[in-house]
Amino acid sequence: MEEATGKAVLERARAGDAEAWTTLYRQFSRRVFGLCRHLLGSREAAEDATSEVFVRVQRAMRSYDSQQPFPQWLLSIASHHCVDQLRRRRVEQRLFEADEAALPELPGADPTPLSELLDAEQRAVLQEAVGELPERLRLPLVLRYYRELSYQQIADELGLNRNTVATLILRGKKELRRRLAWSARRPA
Amino acid sequence: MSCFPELTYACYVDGELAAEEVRRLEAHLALCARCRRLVESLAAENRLLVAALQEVSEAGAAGWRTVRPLDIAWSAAAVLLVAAGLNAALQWLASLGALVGLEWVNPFGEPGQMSLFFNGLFYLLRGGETVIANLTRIGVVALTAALAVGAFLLVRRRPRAAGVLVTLAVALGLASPAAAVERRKADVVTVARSETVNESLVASGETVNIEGVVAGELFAFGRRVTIRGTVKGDVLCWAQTVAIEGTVEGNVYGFAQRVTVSGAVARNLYAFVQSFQLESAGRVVGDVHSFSEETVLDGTVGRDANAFSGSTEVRGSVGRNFRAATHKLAVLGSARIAGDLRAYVYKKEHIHIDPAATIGGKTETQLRPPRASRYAQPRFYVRQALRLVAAFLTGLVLFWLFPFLFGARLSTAKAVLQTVGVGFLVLVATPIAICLVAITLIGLPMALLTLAVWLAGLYLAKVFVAAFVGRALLNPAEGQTGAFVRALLVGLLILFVAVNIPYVGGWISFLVLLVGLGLAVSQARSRWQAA
Repeated sequence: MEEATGKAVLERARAGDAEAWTTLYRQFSRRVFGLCRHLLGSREAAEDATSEVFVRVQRAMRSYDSQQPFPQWLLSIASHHCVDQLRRRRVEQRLFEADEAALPELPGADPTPLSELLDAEQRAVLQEAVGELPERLRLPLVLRYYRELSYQQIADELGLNRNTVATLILRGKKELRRRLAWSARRPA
Repeated sequence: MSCFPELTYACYVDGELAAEEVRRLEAHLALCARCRRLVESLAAENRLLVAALQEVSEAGAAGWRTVRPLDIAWSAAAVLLVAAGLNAALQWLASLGALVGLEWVNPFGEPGQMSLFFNGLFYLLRGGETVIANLTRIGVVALTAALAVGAFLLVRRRPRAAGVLVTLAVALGLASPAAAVERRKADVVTVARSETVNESLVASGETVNIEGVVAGELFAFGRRVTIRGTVKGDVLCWAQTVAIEGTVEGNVYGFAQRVTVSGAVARNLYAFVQSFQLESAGRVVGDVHSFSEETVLDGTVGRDANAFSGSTEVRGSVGRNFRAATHKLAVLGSARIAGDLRAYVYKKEHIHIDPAATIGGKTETQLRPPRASRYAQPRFYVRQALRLVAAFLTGLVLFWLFPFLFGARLSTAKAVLQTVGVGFLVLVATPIAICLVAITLIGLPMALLTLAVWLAGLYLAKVFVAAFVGRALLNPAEGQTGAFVRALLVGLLILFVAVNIPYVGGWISFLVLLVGLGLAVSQARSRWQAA
């Protein structure tokens, strides 16, 4: 956590100081929004979720262990919130199939990894593509490369096993490659 | 040792392999260049994902409250409401008869649109042609260079392909407008009385005057085109007013606001105009086909005369049959029709045939049933439904083939304006470019191909916009096909309702065309850059 914000702000926030909360919001809302945006796949939903996450954080502040870095704690609340929301969105449907790793892969050519340097416009295309992935592929990918969690942490968060997470992440990448179909050839 | 599956490398790059596995894998990597490259590109891919994902939190926060889908929904609803109100008001006014006399100033009416269309076209022809001609020239040079470089690179591996490229490059380099065509462009293009143009002439300018002789075809684009001399071939005019006072030995195709003929046309005349007048001294030896607001036949038509027009008046003579599908028909006493007269009108009192007129054959008048509002006809809805289904299926196929075309999001007003601008450019510049390229012989296949793509684009524009509108409204959270199908359907439904609103619908569909073309081109372009 940024030392500058320091424990003082957190302490004041814990005590319910409005100004401290404004500071926290200003400092972290972008990252929370970014995570929600990727997890939920829509800007609209992410905006709502960001405010809800801060409300939740305010309530949960008492249970915050000051040994733990605040941003990580905040982001874990955010991703819990989003995964919850996605689960609620489809009560009748499970977010993940019983045995994801065993599912057959999509047929078709196996495109090469996306490895070119991209300009801003192309990065925007990539972001769009991530947002359009099905949830079961998007969630592990975002948790890995946005929150930079380990496979095991992702597995815990999503209630999957570690191997499944590994498979889903690679499958998500392959799906991105397929969708973006960048024409780099696999090295011969 | 054989290579590991990609999953293992992915885990390795993510730092998720156990130490033992890492050792075995690195031992393999030391020997296998292919797997090393795979690992490198996987790592690059990870960096890319991290960079792209992290960026949203920055860019996303900056443009946090831009356009929300709800705003679009509200705006769409407001537009529809205003349109409906406007329509009701206009219909009420029309029922009072107040608009009839002022029809020509109403930009939504046909005469007003004609003026607008021609004025717009001339503006583009005057200023736009030079720009596009220059661009075409640059394009030809670039293409020639590219072909030459390609040929050079291929010479070793595929000599035959290189040969083809060289031939193409040479042909393209030498390509000049087809030899038998002369082009003239000036404010005033004049073929003087004493002058003879020995080939076909393409003339464009504010005013085109043909006083002398054109031995070939005449293609004239201008505000005023006047032919006082002789054209031995066909005449194709695209002008505001066309006056034929001399002789045309071929056919005349006139796309204009006003065409008058007081000279002679040796073959057929086709007029797609607002007002067509065959003056008393005028003579068309073949058929006359007039699609116009107003047709006056005062001179002589050698064979059949067909008029599809608002009002039709016959004072001169027709060598064979005369047919008119018209709103009002007047056949005056001086008229002589050697064959049959067939008239299709809405009301009996709108036909006036002077008893003194000579009609050699039968006179037959048919009343067309009054045109019911198209909204009252079930056929209209069936047709719309069929078109909707067709557009929907086309959209699905297109999404399946080229999903990237549908990825557009317009988040700022600037992007919207830009898209509309690109759309307008594509809509207007493409046909002009096609004409210019088609003039060079070698460019003809390219022109035809471009024309086909352009026409397809015109049709597909609404599909892109529908998908875009649908997605903006439904804001599908996941990128599954199901979500796209729903969004496309909703978008198409909204669009089909909007473009069928009387009066305003035309403008909406024009806007849809612009935005759709713009979206498709921008998406294709960014995709092209990505590749």
